[in-house]
This record gives sequence, C-alpha cells and structure tokens, in this order.
Amino acid sequence: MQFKTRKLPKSKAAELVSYPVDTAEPYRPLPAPVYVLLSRNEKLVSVKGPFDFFTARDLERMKGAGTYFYGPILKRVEPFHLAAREVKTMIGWSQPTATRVLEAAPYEISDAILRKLATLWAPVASAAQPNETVIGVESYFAVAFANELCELIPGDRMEMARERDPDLYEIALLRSGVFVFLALHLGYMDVKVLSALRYRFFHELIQLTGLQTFVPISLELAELKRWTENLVHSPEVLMISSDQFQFSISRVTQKLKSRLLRVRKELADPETILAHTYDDGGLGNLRPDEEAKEVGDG
Amino acid sequence: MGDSMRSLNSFGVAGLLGPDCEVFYTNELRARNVGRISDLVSAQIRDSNADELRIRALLVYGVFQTYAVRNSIAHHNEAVPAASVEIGIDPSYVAVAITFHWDGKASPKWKGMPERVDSGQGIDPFENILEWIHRHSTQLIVRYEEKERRIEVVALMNRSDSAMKDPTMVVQVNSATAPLLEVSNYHELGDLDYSKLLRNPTATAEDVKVKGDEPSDMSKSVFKADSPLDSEANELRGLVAEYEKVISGLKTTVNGLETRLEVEMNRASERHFKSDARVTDDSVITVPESKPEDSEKKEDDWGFHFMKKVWPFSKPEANPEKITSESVPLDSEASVSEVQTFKPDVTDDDEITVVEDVNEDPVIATEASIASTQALGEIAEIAKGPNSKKMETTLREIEKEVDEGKAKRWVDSLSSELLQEKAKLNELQKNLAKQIRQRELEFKTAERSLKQELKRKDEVLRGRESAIENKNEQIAQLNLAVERAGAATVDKEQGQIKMKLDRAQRMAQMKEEEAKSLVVKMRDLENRLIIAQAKAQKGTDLQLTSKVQTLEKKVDEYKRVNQRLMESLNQTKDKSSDKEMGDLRRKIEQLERQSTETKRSLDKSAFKLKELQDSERKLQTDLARAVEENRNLRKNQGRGSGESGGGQAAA
Repeated sequence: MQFKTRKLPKSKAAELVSYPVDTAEPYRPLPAPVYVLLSRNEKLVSVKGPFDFFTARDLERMKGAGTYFYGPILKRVEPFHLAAREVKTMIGWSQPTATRVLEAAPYEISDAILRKLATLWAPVASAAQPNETVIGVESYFAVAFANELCELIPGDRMEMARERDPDLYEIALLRSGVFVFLALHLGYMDVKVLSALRYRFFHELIQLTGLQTFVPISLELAELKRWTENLVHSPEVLMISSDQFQFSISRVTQKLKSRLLRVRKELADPETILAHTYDDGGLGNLRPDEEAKEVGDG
Repeated sequence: MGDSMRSLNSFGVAGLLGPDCEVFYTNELRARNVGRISDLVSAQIRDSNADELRIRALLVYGVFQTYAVRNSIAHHNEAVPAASVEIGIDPSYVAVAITFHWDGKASPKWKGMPERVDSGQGIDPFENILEWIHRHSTQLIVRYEEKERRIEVVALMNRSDSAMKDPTMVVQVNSATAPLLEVSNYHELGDLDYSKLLRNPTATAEDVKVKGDEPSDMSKSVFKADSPLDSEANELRGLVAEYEKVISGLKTTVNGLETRLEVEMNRASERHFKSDARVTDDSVITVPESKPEDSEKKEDDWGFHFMKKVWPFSKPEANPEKITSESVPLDSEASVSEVQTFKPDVTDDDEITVVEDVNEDPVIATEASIASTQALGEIAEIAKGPNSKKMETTLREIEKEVDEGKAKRWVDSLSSELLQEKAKLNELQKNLAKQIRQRELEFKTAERSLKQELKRKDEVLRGRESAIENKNEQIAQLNLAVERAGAATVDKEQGQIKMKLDRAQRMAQMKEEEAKSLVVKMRDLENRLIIAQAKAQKGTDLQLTSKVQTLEKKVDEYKRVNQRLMESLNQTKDKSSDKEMGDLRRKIEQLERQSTETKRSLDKSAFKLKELQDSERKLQTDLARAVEENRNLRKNQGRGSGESGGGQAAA
C-alpha cells in the first residue's frame, strides 16, 4: 500500500500516540504505520507500513530498543476501532445469560448494529448522482474496523502470506476486511462465523494450503465475495459508496441497497466528515484529482 | 406449482414469487429466538391474511431441520449454527425459505426424496420433518448445492386456497448459472418498526370490552349472577357491611356508656345500703353486672347510641318484676324468652341521657333503656347473620316482644325504608350497567370504524409511497442514462468513442463521395467500352480498313504491273531504251515507296487496334474494381450506422 510519509520530523512525536510494545498483540494487522524515533537523525522513520504486523520475535526485540509511535492516521482510525468494540459488545447481547433475563432479540441487535455502523458512513459527492445523497467510507477504515472486530488470522498463515507476496497479502487483507464490513450490514452477527469466513477468504486469495476446517458460505455471501473481488483490485485505498449498489440486481446488492438506503435517509448524520487517508494526517498520499493534476503537469 | 415462479435454479424466495414481492429476512434463526422472530414476522404480515399458525410452525420446523440434517438430537445446542430465513409475500403466495448447511459427515439422500416425502415414508429425521412441512404447505421445494453443502427448504402457501396441494420438488442448484432476480424490496427484520409492531396494549376503562352484541343480553353482562336470590343476597351483604361500619362505631360508645353506668349504679347502691337516704323511687333496681370485656362482647356490642336517642318508646310497667343481679346475656345465643322484663320507670317520652362525667350523680338505668339495649343487641346480632330470613324472623320476634303499635310501626317503617332504598339501589345499578354497556358498545363501534379507516389510509399511503419510490428510482436511472449519453467532457472513454465515431462518419462520407465519383467514371467507361466494343465488332476504323483494302489492291496491281514490266523487261531487254528503264525503275521505286507507306499505315492501324483493345481491358478491370469498392462501401456504411446508433452515417 502506498504511503508517502515514511519519514517524519522529530517534532511530530509529541502529536503521535506511542505504540505499546509491551502489550501489543503479535500478528494483529497494524491500523497505522509504526515509526521509531532515531535520536541521532532526529527523525521518525517508519518500520512497518499500514496493515503490516509484528511477529512475537519482533516484539521481543523491540522491547527496550527504542520509542515507537503510531502514525498520525491513528486518530482517524480510532472511531472505527471504538465502533468495532461496541459492535462486538452488541453481538454479545444475544448470548444466553445465566440469569433469567431474556436476551435481546436478533432484530433488536441488528438494528442497534446498523445504527452504530451508520456513524461510520459520511456524505460524499457523486458525479453519477449529483441530486442524491450518497454516503461512502474509505476501504482503509472499513478494513481497520474488521481487523479490530474479528479474531486473529493464525500467525503462521500471516507470515507465509507476507513472504509469498506482500502486495497480494495486502489485497487479501483489504478484500476480506471489506467483505466482513459489508456482511455486518446484511445482518450476519456471529463474530466467530465472520472471522472464519474472513480467514477462508484470505486463505483462498493467498492460495495457501492446509485450511483444516470447512467453513460453508451462503450464496449471498459468495456473491458478496465476488463483488468485493471486483471492487478491490489493487492494494490502494478506494471509496466504498452507496451508489455502487444502485443498479445491480443480484440478491446481495439489492439487500445492501435497501439497508444503505435506510442508513443514508434515517441514520447517517449529514454533518459527518469523511475520514480519509490523504494529506499529512493520513498516509500522506495525494487525492486522486491532485494526483491527476500532478501527472498531467509532469 | 406457483404461477409466479420465475426460476427454480436459484436460492432465495425471489425465484418462486413475482417481481412485485416483498421479502423479509434474517440470518440469525436459532432455537432460543425463533419465538421472537415468529412474533415479529406474524405481526408484520398479519394484514396479508397469511396463516399465522402455519408460518410459526414452519419456522420452528426449520430450526428442527438444522439439528436433523446433522443427525443431532433435537435438544438445544449453541454449537449448531444459525439458519437464514426469508419470508416473501406476493399477491398469490407466501413463501418461507430456510437455508442452512449440512456437515461433511452425512448428506441427505436426494434420490427418491420427493416420492418418499409425499407418500409419508421418510427414512430419516430430516425427511420426517419434511413430511410435516409438506402437510402444512401448498408445496414443498428443497434445493441444494453439493459444493458448499447448502440446503434450502422452501414452503409455499397459497393465500387464497389453503387446501391446494402440489407435489414436492427436490432441485440441485448450480449457482454459477443462477439468474439475477429482482424483487420489490428486501427488509431485514431489524429495519422494521418492531417496537410498534410488538407493543403491548394498555388496558384502560375505555378499552375493556364487554362481550355481547345486544344490550339486552344480560347473560354476558359484567354483573353476572347465577340466581336472583344470590344477587339480592350480595346486595344485602353490601348493605349490611355498610351498616356494620356505622354500628361498630356506635358499639364502642355504647360500651363506654355501659361501663360508666355500671360504675355509677354500683356507687349508688353502695350509698343506698350504707345510708338511710331513701331513694326517690321505690323501684328496686339492680344493675346488671358488667360483663368481662372480652373480644366476643366487643364484637357483639353495637354502637346504637343514636338509636337510643331516637328510641321512641319504652316498655310499659305491665309486670313489674324483680330485677335480678344476674347478668343479662347479650350474645346471639340468648333467646328472647330469657330476656326479663323490667319495671318501666320512665315514660315513653323519656329520653335516655348519657352521663359523660362520672363524678356527677349517676344516671339511673331505666328499664326502658335496658330493654332497648338488649333489643338493639339482639337486632345487631341477627342483622350480622348471613341470611335475611333470620333477620326477618328476629324482626318478627322483636315485633312480638316489644309493644305493638309504635314499635311495629317503627320496625315496619325501617324495613320498608330499607327495602325502598334497596330497590332504589337496584334500579340505579341496573340503569348504570345499561348505560355503561351502551357507552361501551358505542365506543367499540366507533373504535372499529376508526381502525378500519386508519388501516385503509395506511395501505393507501404505503402504496403511494412505494409507487413514489419506484418512480423516483426510475427517474434516477433515466437521469443517469441521459447524463451518460449527453455528458461530453466527464468520461475520457466516452470522448474517445465519440472521436472514433466522428472519424468513422467522416470516413464514410469520404467513401461515399469517392463511390459517387467512381460510379460516374464507371458509367463513362461503360459508355466508352460499349462504343469500343461496337467499333471492335464493326471494325476498328472503317477508313483504315478501306485504306488497307485499297492499298492492298494497289499493291496487287503494282505487283502485277511489276511482273509485266519485269517480263517485258526480260522480253525486251534488248529493245528497251535506257529511258524506259529509268522510267520503269522510277515507277518501281514509287510503287515500292507506296507499298512501304501502306505497310506502315497498316502497322499503325494494327497498333491502334491493340491499344484500343488494351484500353478496353483496362476499362473492364476498373469497372469491376469500382463495383467491388461500391459494394464494400455500402457494407461499411451499413455497419457504421448500426454501431453509432444514428442515421447520420447512412445519410
């Protein structure tokens, strides 16, 4: 994944969140690049890119070996992490309790989850539908949400995938993350099942062998998987918007269209500002129109 | 088979219902929430007149199927994954589809399954449950896909004909070739207004419904009574309870007065026995001993102080008897005959006064007061009894006991007043009940009519809203299509395509012009060819041919002349002169020159012939090429007009 802010001045360290080496979880995809402070050079240099991970060995070496920081994009990712934790709590409401209290009904939980997910969508401009309210979310943040929600992919598989092809590893992570994010909108509320499907999706893309347990997938989730593969064709960040489902008549897109219609008409806050990966607060990349201008000028 | 069935080779209810169907779905159907889900679904589709019992049963069967397909015991197990359910409604059918997966250990036996299910000969729990589903639905369709171990069990129910039956179908689906099917709308259950659908009605006085359509239907009224006697008894009990409350108050005051009276009487008797002071009246008065204050006495003593005040009569001194000191029993068991008569000391008009201050002179308990208290006590005891008959008997006894006349009149008046009041109360109650029922009926009918109107208006609104949404979507689609067609600068690919279209159009125009010019040339060449052919048939050049003929003739003549001359020369070699020889030679030379010139002209004409023939061939080839190019141009023009979508190229 492209990100331009590979080096930051030392003065930026005060604004950044430190990386908790002691309590960090190995093999969990990083929500932001991780920088190390080089005191001699007086610079912050990135040691890991977005969605990369530290192994257990890496974390051991890092202890006491320097000061590490998350990149500035973590501030934009944190609301998505918080939402993921809250959604996990909501999903836990359906578990049968030891007391005699009747647990929440699945439609109540689905409604609550959709209301929470609606806070992550923001109004975006659409050339195709200038008169309609279109909502969108960048794939980067959807994947960060899914990484926080789901269980970890086995570490050996992660290492194998990264060694085989780093770009394909990123694509697999992006596709499986977007898949989980959208599956939640369809009312799939079992974290274990979603984690298992995400792992199967990741596994198939990387073409790893040795997936021991068969994870059955419903037809509409298979359609969603194909749709995600068509949408995410590179490891670069892209926009997932509601108008992408407007004219397709497959079952999964009809269902997503219906749910996102409710999100944009009833639940989404029109004042929400879109979280993006551009500029210095993100990954330092240029916006697509700015990039096109640069290419044109070049 | 459903009339609106569009495709069997697809999962979901969309293929089994019309394109105007609405689908409600959830992906979390489990044993512990099947009730909640069936409640909500039933509330949502209640207006569609779908059989609620069947739908609830089908959902429960679906949950059982998730266990049966795994050969698991039908006992709740959280490890069994949730099933997905879709419920679709169109004007003709309701479809309930439950989707789940089977384990890799054992798959259902698909071969012969429809026949076994229809004939009720299922071979495993999965098929046994399918038999039940088949019984409660118009048609059962089971679809499966081996690759992902998917099963979908769909129960179709005809909304108008519940007795209709179609044979069971088992279909293997190939999802790769499944068609895309559109429906009116997909609703996830969480998007429904479940709080409104499942709201508990609050019971208020207005909402209490009294059964009975006719106001005169007393058998179903709220105030139900098994018999008129019981109702009267209940009413009397109520009255008695009210009187008891009043009387209990009076009882306490009577107790107090009695105790005070006893004390004073005892003091008076002591003084009487101690001193020689004569008592003003000669009557021997004994004060009945006060009874020990026990709870029974307290319960039996009634506060009749107000009655004492108004007691209008006292017993006359018919038989003055000695008042014994024996206690006069006041309990209910005491018979009237045991009550002793007392010497009346006061007249009827005397009033019983209550001495409030104990230190004052003691009030003498007159016979009338004693008799009155005793009678009142008895009345109280009798009135407390459960039966009105006893009350009546005691009243009669009292009537007998006490003096006739005023007592009787008083009792009669009391009883008549009681009865009158009782009758009034009954009438009031009946009127009230009637009014209540009438009002309730009126409210009920008004409520029904309002609800029906609301329902109609809601339906109309929903229909209009859905129509508006559909039209908005169509408008959005049309706008998008128009924008795509009319946008010139947004999409680069569109611009390129347009450029290509313009170029193709220009090429087509150029080709048309070339074709026209070629056609003109072709016509000219054709004309020339015709002329040349005509000339070639007739002779390429008549003049030349005539010249050739004349020259040939001349050549022949000259040859003959030459031979004659040569013969004459040979014959007359001797005879000729040099001049004649020179003349002959000159003539021969002239003739030779003429012959060479004619030969040259012949050669030229032959060459011209060849040239004309060559030009004719060229014209023919050019003509063929022009025809081919014209054909190709016409073909290209036909393709170009089809691709560009306009008639400009053709024009």
